[in-house]
Amino acid sequence: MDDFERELKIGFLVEAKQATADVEQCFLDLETNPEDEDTINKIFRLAHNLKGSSKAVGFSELGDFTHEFESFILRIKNKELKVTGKVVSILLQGNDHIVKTLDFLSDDINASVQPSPLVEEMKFYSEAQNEPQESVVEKVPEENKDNEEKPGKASLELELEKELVPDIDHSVELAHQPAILPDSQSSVPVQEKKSAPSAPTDDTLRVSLQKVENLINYVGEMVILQSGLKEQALMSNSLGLKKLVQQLNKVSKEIQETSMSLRMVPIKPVFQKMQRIVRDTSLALGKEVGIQLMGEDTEIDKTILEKISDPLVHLIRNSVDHGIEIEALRKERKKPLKGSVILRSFHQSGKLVIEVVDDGGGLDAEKLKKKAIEKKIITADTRLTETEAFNLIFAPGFSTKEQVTDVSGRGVGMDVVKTNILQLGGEVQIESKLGFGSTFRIILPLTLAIVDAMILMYSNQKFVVPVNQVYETVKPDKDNIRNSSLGDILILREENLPLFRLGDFFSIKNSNPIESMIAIVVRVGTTPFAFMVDDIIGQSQVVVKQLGPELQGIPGISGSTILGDGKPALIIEPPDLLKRSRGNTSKGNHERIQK
Amino acid sequence: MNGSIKQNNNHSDDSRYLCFMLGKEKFGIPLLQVKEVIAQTNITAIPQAPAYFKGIMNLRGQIVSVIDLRSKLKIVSSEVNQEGAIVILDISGLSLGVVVDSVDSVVVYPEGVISPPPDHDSGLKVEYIVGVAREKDHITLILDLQKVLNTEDMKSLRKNQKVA
Repeated sequence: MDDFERELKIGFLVEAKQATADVEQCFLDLETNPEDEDTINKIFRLAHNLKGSSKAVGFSELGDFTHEFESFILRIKNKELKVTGKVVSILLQGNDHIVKTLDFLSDDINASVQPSPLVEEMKFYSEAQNEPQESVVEKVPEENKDNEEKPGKASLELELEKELVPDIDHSVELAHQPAILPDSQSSVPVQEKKSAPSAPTDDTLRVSLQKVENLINYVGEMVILQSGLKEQALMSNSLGLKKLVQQLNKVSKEIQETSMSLRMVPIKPVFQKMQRIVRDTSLALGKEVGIQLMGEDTEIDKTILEKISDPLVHLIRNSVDHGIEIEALRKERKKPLKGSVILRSFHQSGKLVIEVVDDGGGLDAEKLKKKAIEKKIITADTRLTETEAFNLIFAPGFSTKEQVTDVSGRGVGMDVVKTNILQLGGEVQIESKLGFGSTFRIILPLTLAIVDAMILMYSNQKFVVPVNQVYETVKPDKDNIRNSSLGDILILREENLPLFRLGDFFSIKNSNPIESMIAIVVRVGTTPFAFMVDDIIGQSQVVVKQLGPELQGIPGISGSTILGDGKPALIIEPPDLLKRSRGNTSKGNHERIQK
Repeated sequence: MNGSIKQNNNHSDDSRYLCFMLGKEKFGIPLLQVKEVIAQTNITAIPQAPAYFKGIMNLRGQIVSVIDLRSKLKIVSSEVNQEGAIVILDISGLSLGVVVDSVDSVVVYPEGVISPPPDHDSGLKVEYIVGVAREKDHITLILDLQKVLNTEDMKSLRKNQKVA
């Protein structure tokens, strides 16, 4: 295969994956709104493009499958098939097959793909439904009416989606149709008109994350230089210079904001996936559950988006499986038989909030406690608030459902949810009312690239610690500090906290008396502790920069940043500091002696 | 035709060396490994790193590790107040800074000028030196930086951090 062909194929795979994601959303829309012509048209367009281009770049097996797929969709479009749950299932399965094939081809571009049994099913299904012809006839006038409205609708859709529509590949479509559907010749003219606004092209641009990161790096550097320039301008007498610098300031701020926003993408794809999860899970469980998506366009850092999907899947499954009651119970409780899950996201005070709301049975604090005692997660005499009891479901090995289902309920999952969210620097909250439903709220930072940080000074060296890792800071006096053979202790409101100097972890000597220092209290890890620093210089947002591979994996250091003065500083991960000290105090001393 | 010109170019690229001073000696490294040379800048130390590991610096927004070649090769700096320069290298995609006393020149060594190093059995340095370029009044030692900054060092640095 020559390079050109290979490039074509790779390009096709990337595009096709996008198309499959889009089309899946359409299928789900179709289920809720089977009569929506716009959706059907969009599906047909996407399927048609997929078929055309897969054949064009030489994936003939995929082309054959998508050809059948397209025929099947065409039948829906021509109202020969009614949109039922079964039909949507076939469509989704078909899409899954395409996705799988695409993944397969991405791994090995020359792979040959096994034909799917789905092809037969699609053919068979079509024929079975073709026999009762009345329904088709019945619908014809309606279709024509729709058709007249079509131009207006189409242009609206175009506007909404900001898509440009070059009129391409029209003739190919016409040529294909008789072959696919010999018995639906009559609808061909209609077909032609409708497919005019086909082949949408996105006005977005794919850029590698690396390029964006480079850009952000340079912008960060520019901002530092900018502040230097501003200082110089202040000292100068030239009014013109001052004015220029001021204007430049504004522009560079814009550039900074825009470049940061490049990493931000809508949460939509993940939400769409959840729609599918609800559908499949509720079908598997024999429950009827609807999902409502809100705030799909909320933007989130690309790296977070990638990591939020798994925890959300768990939460959603949990809501459908454990939250929503079985139908009989819902009847008894006088709730609508169809359960409802709402998935929404929004920005709130600089954070991203994602909520999973169900109208199910809610959490039973007493039951949770009993279970936790049974599983020896807590002891019988532990007193818990309601919120604390709710949080028991995040404990490892905790599962309340009596029976293990294949949907959820192996006791892994919820604790993974919590760990994943914590790793992203976020938190999970639960609100629940027994008998009325629960809300799981995930609160996440908007981006991992920037953190709110406290800048600390120790022995004339600056260190940075993320603010969310700092519980509090105290300036202890002599009475609060005790020395013991175990080590120093900070007495803080009846509590004895292990006390270290920041330098203890890194063998940095410091001659400052401990009384003059400030204690940073950390309660993030398993053991709360405090470490002393010379001073807290300030608090600001810093851009996190990865260290080179030669410096990765140093315990207690999660990365680096460049401070306002242009100097690099290390970002400390306080919970990991303790790991450091435990294994190394004696050896650290050893090393010092050797030196 | 085109190919042969290209080859010639490549050849001259390959035979160009950046020469710098470490103590009283002159060293050379292939110019192709050099990204740029900058003046000494602020370097933030990494706690408990080996002595030759100077720390990290800000190279236009990128964090780059800096190694002191003098202490790595155990050469005593000739002048006490030597400010030094930082040579930014690109070693198989990894940016790395090395501190040298001063940058001397870019030299083309035609074929034959560089000969294998003498088989001294003296200390660490020998394994890092892949060749000797003889000139009229002095010699230049050609360094294999990949070896000097070999990954084992990096690994030991990490180990040091973990166990230390």
